[in-house]
Formats: sequence, structure tokens, C-alpha cells
Amino acid sequence: MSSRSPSSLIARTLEKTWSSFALLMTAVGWSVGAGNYWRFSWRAANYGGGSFLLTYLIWLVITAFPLAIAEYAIGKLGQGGPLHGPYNLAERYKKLAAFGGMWMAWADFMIMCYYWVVTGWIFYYMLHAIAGTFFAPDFDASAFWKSFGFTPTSLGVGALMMFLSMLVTAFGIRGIGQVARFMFPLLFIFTVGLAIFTLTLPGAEKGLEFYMVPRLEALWDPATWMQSLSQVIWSIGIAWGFLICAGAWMRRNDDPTLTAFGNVVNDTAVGWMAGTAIIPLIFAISATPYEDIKAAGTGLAFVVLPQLFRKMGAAGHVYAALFFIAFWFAAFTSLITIHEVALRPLKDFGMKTSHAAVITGLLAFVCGIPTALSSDWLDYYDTVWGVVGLSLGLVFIALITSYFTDPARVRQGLMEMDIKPFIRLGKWWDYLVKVNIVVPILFFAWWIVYGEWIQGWGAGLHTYYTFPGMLILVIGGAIMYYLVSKVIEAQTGGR
Amino acid sequence: MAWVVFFILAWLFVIASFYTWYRAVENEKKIRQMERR
Repeated sequence: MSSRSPSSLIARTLEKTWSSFALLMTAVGWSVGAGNYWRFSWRAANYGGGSFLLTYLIWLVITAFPLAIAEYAIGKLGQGGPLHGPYNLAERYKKLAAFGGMWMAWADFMIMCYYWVVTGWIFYYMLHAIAGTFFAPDFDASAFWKSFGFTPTSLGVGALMMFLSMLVTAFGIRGIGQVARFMFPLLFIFTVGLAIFTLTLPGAEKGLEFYMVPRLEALWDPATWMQSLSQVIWSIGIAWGFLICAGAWMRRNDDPTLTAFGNVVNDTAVGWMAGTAIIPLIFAISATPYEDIKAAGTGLAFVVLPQLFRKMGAAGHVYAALFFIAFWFAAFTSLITIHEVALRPLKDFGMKTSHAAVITGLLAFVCGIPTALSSDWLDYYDTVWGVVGLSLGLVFIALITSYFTDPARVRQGLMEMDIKPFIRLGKWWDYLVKVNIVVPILFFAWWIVYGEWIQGWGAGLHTYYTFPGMLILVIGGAIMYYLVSKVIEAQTGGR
Repeated sequence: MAWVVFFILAWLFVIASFYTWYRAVENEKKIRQMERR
């Protein structure tokens, strides 16, 4: 059963100028987006600084790299999207495998519900960066953010982003992928430049110490581990389903180990450099950096970046404009990729692309309205879906490639190329994948126990607060399993 | 000075990124060569 649809946007992006480099830039371009600046600086500054980086590094090795390869394997060897790829690859529990793939597409959709909001913020800042608002003598970055973030204006700008995403995915506007491919290297270099500039500012070394020195007490807090795990997979884009789609379009000689390694290192380089630009700057410009980090909350990057450009003097205006244009492109191309994956299941169920694009777009807009108007709602969605939903997706990837099928067979299939693979997969890969069947669940359990029982009821995950979201997760999952079973039965005649 | 380790690591990620770009270009050259043969 195959679902390689020629109308897929992902395919269209790649098919005209397909090469290993184009594949890498496209895959990395999907990974790099709002997560590297907005979410990374927010989460790293609030969950341990250096301890966050240390646990981040551990997750890169244990989870991100092996599971990125596994997710590509599902697409490349299963020859299908989130529904059919896992179904085709699995040798047993095939329906459960298809459900696992659909779970990822569902998490992807739920994250889309607030991704359009953040893309709207970046678009708004891009316009103001071009207009030079940040450089007015009386400009106040905190007041500017407060007057925009979580207001009806932010809802309106976000709505425009969702509308544009619907247009692109429904009508398959070509060219955006190609532009994004040039934009990513540009954004990469701009970000490195920003990091270097921040390091030259007096006082930045204190921030660098906070950002890069692990503290033991934060390592004992499971929130540090869970938040860094979620950041790794959120930012790189593992368990969202789009690496499965990319895998399905790989040629025989496209090396999944190189592309997975590329995803991991490029995304981490941008995230860590963005952190180097943003977090030490707060310490360089503020007498009360810890209070400012708390006060800025989810808007940290948006409060800090304009101040960074102001520090650059005359060159700041041009740099800010170019940076935000590249940043917006990165976020917008990520939004349309997320949209593409979210509508894919409806297409697999037999719906027309344009209808699926409009339905998923409108639904994501309506479901995401609270996140555009309240930072608590955004945090809530991000915790339920960005942390819990994606972590469960990891478990499914690990199950599909190491338990529902023989991992040695998967490994062999991936190594069948005429060129030398970037990294030769051995049994170590099987073990690392298997570890991920239990590790996210163990850390999740530790998080709940530590938060609710040791720190006090409601201190950790806010179980009582996130409970309705968890309930939707479970009930929705059950309904989806039923639907997936019916579709699979209809498409395979019950085989 | 403990931050130096992570600081160097951050730059290693940047260098490794450029290396993946280079490797992708090299891979494509090999693939094209094989296709011509």
C-alpha cells in the first residue's frame, strides 16, 4: 500500500532541483524556525540555563540522532506518509503502527494551532524591523512587546499567516521551498554574527556563565530533563511526521544518516547560537536579569532581539531587517510544512488537497485563538502537545522501528546504498532506538511524581491544570485509533 | 570557566553543520558520477 502522492508540496519542493544538498537544506529548513529562537531562549532561560544545555546534549545522542534516522527509515522503507509508512514497514501490530504515525500527525496539527500565532509575531517584528521602529530614540522593547503580544492585533496578524499557509498548501504555490533553501544558510550566518556581537558586549560573560554552566540542583529537577527533551524534538522536528514524509521521497542513494545528522547539528548550532545571542545580552543590559527573564516569559526573544539590534548602532537597522526577513521565511516555511503534514491524513482518507488544507487551516485557527490572546493558554498547549504529545510520538517511532519490525532489517534496508554511508549503523543503533521505548515514559512519570508529590500538588506538570488536555489526548487517541482501523480495513480489504 | 566547554561545543556544532553541507555536495557528485557510468 503506497501513498506517494505527486501533489504533495514536500515533493514539489524537492522534485525540480533534487540533490543531496537540496534535500539537506530543505530538511534543515523545516527544522529551523520559531523553535530555535522563540522557544529555545524561553525554555533554556527558564529551565536551568547550563543544566538545560547539558541535558539537551544527552538527549541529542540518546534520542534525537537515532530517532531521526528511525523516522526517515519509516518513510524511506515504508514508502508512505504518517499513515501508510508505519503500516507498510511494520511486520506485526500494523494497525497500531499506523496509529502511531497518525499520532505524530495529530501532535503536528495541535502544535500548528499555536505555531501560526508565533509566525505572526515574527511577521509583525519583521515589518517593524524594516520600518525602523526599533531605532526610535524613545523605543521601549518591553512596552512594545506588551502592546502587541496576546492582543487582538497579534490575533489578526496570526490569522493572516494561517490564511497564507492555507493558500500555499491548497494551491501548491511553487517556489517557496526554493527561496527557503537560500534563506536558511543566510539565517545561519546572521545568527552566528549576532552571537559574536553579543559576546563583545561588556557584562555578557555573566550571562554566558548562567547560560553555559550546569548547576547540579537543576539536574535533579525532572522538569529540566523533560523541557530539554521536548525542546530537542520540537526544534529538530522529530515525531511531527515530516521526517517520515521526507523519507518517502528519498532516492536510493540519499543517505538518511547524513540527513539526520545534518538535522541534529544544524538545528542545534542555530539554537545554541541564538541562545548565545539572546541570554547573555539580558545580563549585559539589565541590572535584574533573572527578574527580566521571568517577566518576559514566552516573549523573551521578542523583548531582547530589538535591544540587540539597537546596540549595533547604524548597521543595526539593515541587520535587523535582513535577519527578520530570513527568520520569518524560516518560520513560515516551517508553518506550511506543519500544515502539509497535518492535512496529509485527510488526503490519505481520500479528501482533495485543497479541501483538506482549508479544513485543517480553519480548525487550527479556531483551536488556536486562545493561544493568540493568552500566554497561559499558549504555555498550556505547548505543555500538552509540545511536551507530552511529542514525547509519546518518540515512543511510537521507537516501537515501530524496533519492536513492530526487526531493527536489523531496518538497519540493513537503510544501508543499501551505492555510496558509503555517512555513519555506518550497527547494533548500537538498535539499542539506542529501543531505549526510547521506555525512557520518555520514565522521565514523564518522574516529572509527575516529583512535581505533584515531592514539590507539592500542582507544582510540576500542573496535573490538575493540564488534566483536560490529557483527557483530550486519551479520548482523541482512542477515536483516532478507531478511525485508522476503519480506513486501513477499507484500504486493504481487512488484510 | 566551566562555560568554556559548552562554548567550544556550540562552535563545534557550527563547524559540523558546515561539514554536513560539504558532505551533501560531495555525495551528490558521487551519485551523478555513478549515474553517468
